[in-house]
Amino acid sequence: MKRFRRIVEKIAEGMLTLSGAVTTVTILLIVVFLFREGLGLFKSPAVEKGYALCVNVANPVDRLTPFQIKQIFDYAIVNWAELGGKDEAIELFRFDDIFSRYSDEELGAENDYALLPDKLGEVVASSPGIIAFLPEEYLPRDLKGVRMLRSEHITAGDFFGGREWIPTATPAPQFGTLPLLLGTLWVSIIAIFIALPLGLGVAIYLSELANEQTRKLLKPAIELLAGIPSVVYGFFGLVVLVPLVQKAFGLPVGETGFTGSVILAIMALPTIITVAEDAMRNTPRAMREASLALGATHWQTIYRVIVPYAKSGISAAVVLGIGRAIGETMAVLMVTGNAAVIPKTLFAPLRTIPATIAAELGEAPAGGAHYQALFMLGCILFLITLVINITAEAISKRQHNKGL
Amino acid sequence: MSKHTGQNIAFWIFRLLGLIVVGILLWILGFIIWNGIGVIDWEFLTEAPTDGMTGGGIFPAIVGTCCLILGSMIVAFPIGVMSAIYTTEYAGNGRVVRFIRIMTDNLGGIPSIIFGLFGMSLFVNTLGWGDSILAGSFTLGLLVLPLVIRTTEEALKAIPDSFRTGSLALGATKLQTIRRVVLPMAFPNIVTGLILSIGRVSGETAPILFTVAAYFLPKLPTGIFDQVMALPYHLYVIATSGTDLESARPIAYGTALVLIVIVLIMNILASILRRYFGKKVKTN
Amino acid sequence: MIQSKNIDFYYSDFHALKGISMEMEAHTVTAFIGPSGCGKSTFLRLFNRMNDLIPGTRLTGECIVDGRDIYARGVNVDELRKQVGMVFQKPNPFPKSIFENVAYGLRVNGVGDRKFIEQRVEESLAGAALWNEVKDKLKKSAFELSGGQQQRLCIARALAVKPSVLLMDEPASALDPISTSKIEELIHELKKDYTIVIVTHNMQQAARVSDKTGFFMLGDLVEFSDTKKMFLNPDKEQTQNYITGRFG
Repeated sequence: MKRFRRIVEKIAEGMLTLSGAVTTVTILLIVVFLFREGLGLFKSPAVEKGYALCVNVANPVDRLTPFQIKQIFDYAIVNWAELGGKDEAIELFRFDDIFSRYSDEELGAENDYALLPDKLGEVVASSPGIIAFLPEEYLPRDLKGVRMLRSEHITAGDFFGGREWIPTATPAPQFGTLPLLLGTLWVSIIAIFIALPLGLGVAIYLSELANEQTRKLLKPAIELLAGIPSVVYGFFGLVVLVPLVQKAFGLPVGETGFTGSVILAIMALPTIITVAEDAMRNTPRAMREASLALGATHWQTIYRVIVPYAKSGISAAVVLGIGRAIGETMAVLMVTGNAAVIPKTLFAPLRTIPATIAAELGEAPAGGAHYQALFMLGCILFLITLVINITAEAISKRQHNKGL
Repeated sequence: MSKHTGQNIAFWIFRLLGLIVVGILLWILGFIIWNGIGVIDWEFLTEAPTDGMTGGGIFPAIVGTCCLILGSMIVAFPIGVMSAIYTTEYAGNGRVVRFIRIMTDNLGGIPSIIFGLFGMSLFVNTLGWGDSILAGSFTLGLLVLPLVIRTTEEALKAIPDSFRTGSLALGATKLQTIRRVVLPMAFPNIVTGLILSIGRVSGETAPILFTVAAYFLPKLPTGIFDQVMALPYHLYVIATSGTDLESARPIAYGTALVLIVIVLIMNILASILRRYFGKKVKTN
Repeated sequence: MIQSKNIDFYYSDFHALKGISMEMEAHTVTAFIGPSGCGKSTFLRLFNRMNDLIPGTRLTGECIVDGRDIYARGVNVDELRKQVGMVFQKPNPFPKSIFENVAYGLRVNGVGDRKFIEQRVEESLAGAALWNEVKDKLKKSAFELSGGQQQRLCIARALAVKPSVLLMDEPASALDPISTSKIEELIHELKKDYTIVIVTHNMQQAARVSDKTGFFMLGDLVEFSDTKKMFLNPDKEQTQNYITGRFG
């Protein structure tokens, strides 16, 4: 009986030990799955899956970046010379164009369009400036006079350096994260600029001035502020702040980066207040007394001794606040207008990384380039918040008595 | 004398800032309550949406959110409590524990949308559970795991060592001590943590977007592989992407109010428990 | 001159000081001894109103510093604290440079003249017998000094605002013997210019540095007389017992 009990106990303790690893395992799994899906992006073809780009065999250009392809099909580049080729006007040819050049009989319509590939080949071979966007299943079998552009993969450069995010563009979807990344940083940093003075002031008030009764009132209020779901903040922002911002600044739309910053500032307040207040309360009583004993007023003591002493805690509060803001999804999604352009002003719609994921993942077919690009965005977000958390930890652990 | 004038001005500014924060809270709460209170009645709480979600109630969303709360707590609570027992009672103070703590903190700092991505990739696609209560519960469960662990740890640490040594001195094994002395004493605070976790889970939207939430699904779930509607997602949908946003507004106010009431109840419950059983559990 | 008249002091319900009356003359060193919790530190902290910081305390009686009741209505507490300097049990320099630590009291009192500050810092550090050790590293962090040096820095910091009274709350209890003897020497020097009140749990120290000694127990001032007399021939048996180490 005793032996049995001991075995049971050993098993139970083994399970406890195993469960200790659960958070570590979860983080590992998150990393694995995020990056497995995300890194697939760089193996995806730059051109839409199942399609290829063909040019005349005499054309020396043999590689195009996704951005160049997009510009060609947007008529922003109209001559091969701009791409390092011969001085030749670019002729766009989409698959559908074939039906305006040949009748159904000529293409062998009754016979599963058996003649279509040959006709496509003829078209491409006959015009030196052509670029044709064709489905792979109808590619010309006889490649005389036709050259397929090398099937490029989306590169890290396209992804991180790209200035356009148009995942549904054909023939080459644009996965440039720059506008999203900048949008995220802009909104978050402005949010902190709004929240910091307010949060720091309230933290000082709570730790230094408020009496016990006021604290008892204010602390739960702040906790409640932290507990309100972000979708409710988003809704509040949408129906209250958006019209307010629009009217106050005379804007065409109220869904702007600034609106997002305001909402994020409110949401980051509890974090900033709590962490900063803790740091200030931890200032040793001896410091406080020493300052007062020298004839400093309470206020002088606060800003000359307590705030400097708590500065690493306050910095940690700022960093954590930024972290909270950067990762916030729903509220931002609902109030920033979600235009994927590089933000030039805060008073225009912009779009953040989390909002992009939330808005687009539902429409992106699993395994496709768009889906993978969204996971890659997730990887970026993950890394940013990881760095932020580690920084905050390092800052708040930093010894006060090392250096000034 | 001027140094006192400076102090007075500064202190009045701080008092004002404190008031502003309370003001913001009251503004948000007041706005939602003012607009939502008229919408809520028995019918609103017990009927399915009708007329393209511009009429009827939010019953399926309430049921769905309850399912997700229950599911995620089943996932997170036992393992979270066990993990906390391991780190506070067994692992000592060495490197392993420090590492585990760092990992737990980092997991707590990961944005919720990442959990959504992860849940979609692992539970929905790789494990093939599809959009389901199961996938959503696991995703939300992992999301609140750090909160459960941290509150439980605080609860366990609050128990003075003398009780442990007392029990051990009577010949009880460590596990018996934990089970019969430490856990019962820490129980109220652990429950406080559970309540806070429920509050958190009930309001999360991003993690359920792609793992469970249904746009419109008037029938109730029959098993763990069903999709459900959920309150936060429902609010998002009717606030932003319905067919007729204006006529859906009252429903949106009502839904927001229900969400806020849940959070309020959870907060009040937690603080009552805290006051009742003394020692405060840290929330973050 | 410092005087207390019939002081009673309470922490909420706890009666910490019971009817204390005594007089400390200018340019003397007065030591308070007694077992821990006897009220000697509480009494000391009355004279720069440091106890004001603790919520729920209550005081009756009069505390007179340089002829003024410091608890009277309209007394400027900051001015009082400038006049009555204090050195704490543990060295508590600010996380600033050595120079800024000493200059702090001047700056918070609105002194901006750089020359004047520099001069006063040097004077004060010299007065605290620290100048020679730190004159080449004034910009260094105060935390780089040894414990004993830090405590002398705290004394210098207190001297910089030119107080007339110096309160010392067990100033050497956290220090090693050599640093302690340096502090004691310093107290001897400072006596010329300041009225010094020191709380100590070390009776030898009290005997070495003070002119007069007060013995506290359970909130009562049991005996107050010349140090020599107190240690050689106390009036009360309780004092005798404490000094000879029978309790406490």
